Formats: sequence, C-alpha cells, structure tokens
Amino acid sequence: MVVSVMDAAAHAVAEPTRREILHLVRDTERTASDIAGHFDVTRPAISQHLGVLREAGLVTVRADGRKRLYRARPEGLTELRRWLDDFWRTSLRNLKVEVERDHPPTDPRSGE
Amino acid sequence: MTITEPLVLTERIRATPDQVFDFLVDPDKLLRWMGTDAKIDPTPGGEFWLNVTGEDIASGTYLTVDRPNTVSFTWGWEGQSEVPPGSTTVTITLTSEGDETIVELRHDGLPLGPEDEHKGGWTYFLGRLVTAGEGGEPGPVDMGGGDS
Repeated sequence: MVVSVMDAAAHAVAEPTRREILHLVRDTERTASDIAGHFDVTRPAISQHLGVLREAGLVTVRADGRKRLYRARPEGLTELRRWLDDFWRTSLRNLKVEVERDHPPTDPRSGE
Repeated sequence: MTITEPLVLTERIRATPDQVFDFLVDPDKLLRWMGTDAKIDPTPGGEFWLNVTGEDIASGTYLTVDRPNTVSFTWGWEGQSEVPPGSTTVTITLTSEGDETIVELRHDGLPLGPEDEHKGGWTYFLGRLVTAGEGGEPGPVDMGGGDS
C-alpha cells in the first residue's frame, strides 16, 4: 500500500468519532443513518467521516437495493497496524541514537 | 464502481417556483443555504464554482437554466480523483403544487461510496434551502465537526 494511503489511514484514526465508527462497523454492516444514530453529530458530518475512512481503505460500502451498508475493511486495519509497528520501531531507533549521542556507551575494551 | 440509479431527493417549500429559483441562480441567495463562497454564471456553458464547506470546492458547467423549473450543471470536486469536476450531473427541478414548490434534486453519475456521502450533504443543504426559501435564516454552514 502506498505511503499516502497510509498517511490517510493514520489521519483517519486520529479522530475519536471515526475510531468509534470503526468499532460500530467492525462486526456489523450498518447504514450511515444507523451510524449517525449513535452520535450527537449531524448526518453530513457522519457522511464526511465515512468518506475519510473509505478513502483511507478502512471501511468498504456495498449496495443492498437502496441501502448503502458500511463495514470495516480488516485488510486496511492490518496494513495500518503494520505501518504503526514500523513507525514505533523507527521512533525507538531514533530515541536510541539521540540518547547515545548525549551519553555515549562506554566501550569495555577501551580501558576507560 | 458507478451505480446506475441516480441519487434523488425531494423537498417541499412554501414559496413559488420563481421565488425558489432565485435561491439557485442568485449567488447571494445561493450562499444563504449552501457554500461559503460562490462564482457562478448561470447560463448554459457558464461556470459553476462553489466552496461548499469552506475547504472543499465543487465546480462544473451549467447545462440547463430554464426559469422557473430547471437548473442543471456538471459537478465534481477540485483536486479529487474519485469525483473530479465534470464527472457527474446535478439537476434541480421545481414543480408548483398548491402554495408549495416541490424541489427534486437528482445527482447522476456518482460512484457507490461518494453517492451515499453526497446524500448526507444534499439532505443537509436541501433542509437549509427549505428554511431560506420560506424566509428563514439557516445560519452559517456547519457540517457538524466532520473534517475532511
């Protein structure tokens, strides 16, 4: 998956309402109206959140007659988790470099 | 995936079609119910440019401007590949019935996901058109906290 989509996924889950929407559609298909019923925010706001989640590859939508049903896209979440794991691995490596720059590890062979 | 069925929404406004038509083609009146900034030339072939949310710009070209019954224009989002400018068509039809005007908004050519998202947006804005068309003040555009 390309980096910009991963950025979109990270941006998507940075917003609490969108994380709650992901929970709601994790195991159950729901319409936008059903999802909106769980929140105090307006239906157009829910539509925008669903658009952000869909473009980030975290939810999919399908037509069932006139209904539009949303559900979480597990592959999208797996890709995001892998990306976050790499993110933290990189961050921890950077932390190690910075700490060791200020406090160089003593080399037992140097005799100091 | 483009769906074949158009998105169709209907509202009723206690006003004449001519009065409602002004809210579609007069930029100041248009902005009372939809968008934050508009550059429109409502003649066939003229430009349609609307900052819908303050951040998202819809643009296209007028196809039909037939007072007091029909306005149609192409529609799409600038800088967006899923529904680019010119890729879809909005047709608003006004029909007189008693002391009311029936407003039918038809949006053709939307892919599956954007279709449902546009339904949410159009439902919100048509509600504001009813308020403005009946002499009320819908207030500033507030999509309710959903950012893009």
